[in-house]
Amino acid sequence: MQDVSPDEGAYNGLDDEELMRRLAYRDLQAFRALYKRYGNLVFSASLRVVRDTQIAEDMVQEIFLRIWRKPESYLPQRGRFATWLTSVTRNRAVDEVRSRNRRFRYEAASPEEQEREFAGPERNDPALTAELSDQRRLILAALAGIPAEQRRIIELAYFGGLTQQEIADRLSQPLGTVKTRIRLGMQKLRAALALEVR
Amino acid sequence: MRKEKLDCQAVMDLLDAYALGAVDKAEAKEIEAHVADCVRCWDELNRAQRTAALLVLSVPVQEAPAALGERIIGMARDERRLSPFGQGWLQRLGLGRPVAVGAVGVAGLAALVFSAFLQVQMNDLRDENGSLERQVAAADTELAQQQQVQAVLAASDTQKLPIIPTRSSADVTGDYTWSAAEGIGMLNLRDLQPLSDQQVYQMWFTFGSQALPAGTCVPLNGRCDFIVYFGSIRRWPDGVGVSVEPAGGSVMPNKPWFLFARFEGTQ
Repeated sequence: MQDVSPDEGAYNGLDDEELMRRLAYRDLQAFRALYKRYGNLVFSASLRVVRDTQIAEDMVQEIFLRIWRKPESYLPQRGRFATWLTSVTRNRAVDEVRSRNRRFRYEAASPEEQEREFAGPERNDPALTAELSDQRRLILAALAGIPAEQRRIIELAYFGGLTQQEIADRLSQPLGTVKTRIRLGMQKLRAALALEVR
Repeated sequence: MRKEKLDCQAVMDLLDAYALGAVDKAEAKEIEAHVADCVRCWDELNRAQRTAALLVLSVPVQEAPAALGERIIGMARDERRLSPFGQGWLQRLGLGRPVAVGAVGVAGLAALVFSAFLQVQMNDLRDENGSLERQVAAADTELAQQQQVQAVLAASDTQKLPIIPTRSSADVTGDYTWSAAEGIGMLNLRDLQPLSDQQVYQMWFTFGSQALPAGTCVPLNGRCDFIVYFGSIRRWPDGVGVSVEPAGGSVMPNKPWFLFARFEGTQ
């Protein structure tokens, strides 16, 4: 049975929330449209955290099938779908790393490597929708505007899944310094992304 | 010594770290307890979490393997096919806000919540890695749905509406049976003609000129059985229609209706 209909284009025009609403009655085309929109992002975000292609693929599969089976787990009144999905992805990937005790692989990445991972190209990315590509440019610019030491600590917390105390231990810095750098860095990001986080 | 609760300033100082997942469990508990009662800190936390979520977009985006997408879509398709009522599947209307309509009251809502609970439990049982597990899950789901069907048929307020065929579908027979108390309706169609691989029958509730999709079906042995949970529909529909649509269903019905019936004074 074919699941692609001549109306596929119409689905691509529906917003995320409408596609999620349609999953409530098992609309496979809506599911396909969501995957097309976010599959690359979920894969890349998972890969960034778990650093293993096979595990990242497993993450993508698990996250999307969970959406398919339990679309009600997304509550539109609590925020945008993209925000929810990226949070779910990051949290699930970090849990996976913790359960596999793979954190040391991440931490083995050199500062230069981590720097490259943050400061990606500022061009349109064909693997993202236009809206996500615009948001990506904004976040990259915002990250480039904060000091490297703040950026690195934010990175270790968010993608490395480390607590403030663990970061302090890892970097041999006082806990107070780590806390301050997180707070200052996030404040600057929030200010730079004001329109996006309202 | 008894530990002091965190005040707003202390919580504010930790919200960014919390949003990044960088506080320990004890701190997280304290923050969660505080923001549950503090609107100001709750708002601030939401902003911090939205900022943190945007960090995902900083990763270099790579194209996921094409085979991965095909596999995931294929698994979703398989699950839909393995769902109960032959090739039909559970028609869920997750409209979220429970607003009573007419006689659809507490009992209907309870039925909706219970059925959703059952569905969640059974979804948890499904394991895409083995066909046996999938069949077990499908069987469990079917059992639960059959219990719900029995509940509708046994309800004291069960009503039935014959579905009136249009000229082009004169041989089709069917009816829509529902219980407002249970919050469940069933549309049963017989003697349906097979469709092409690119088509499905789609059920709709109508509200004047508007139509709300309620599920699609590929007929098996000429039969389609739709189950709908309508406990949270905000107003009573004035009719129920069936159209022929592209596979996957449509956002708007393709008219004229294949089948249509109007509720007249029934609620």
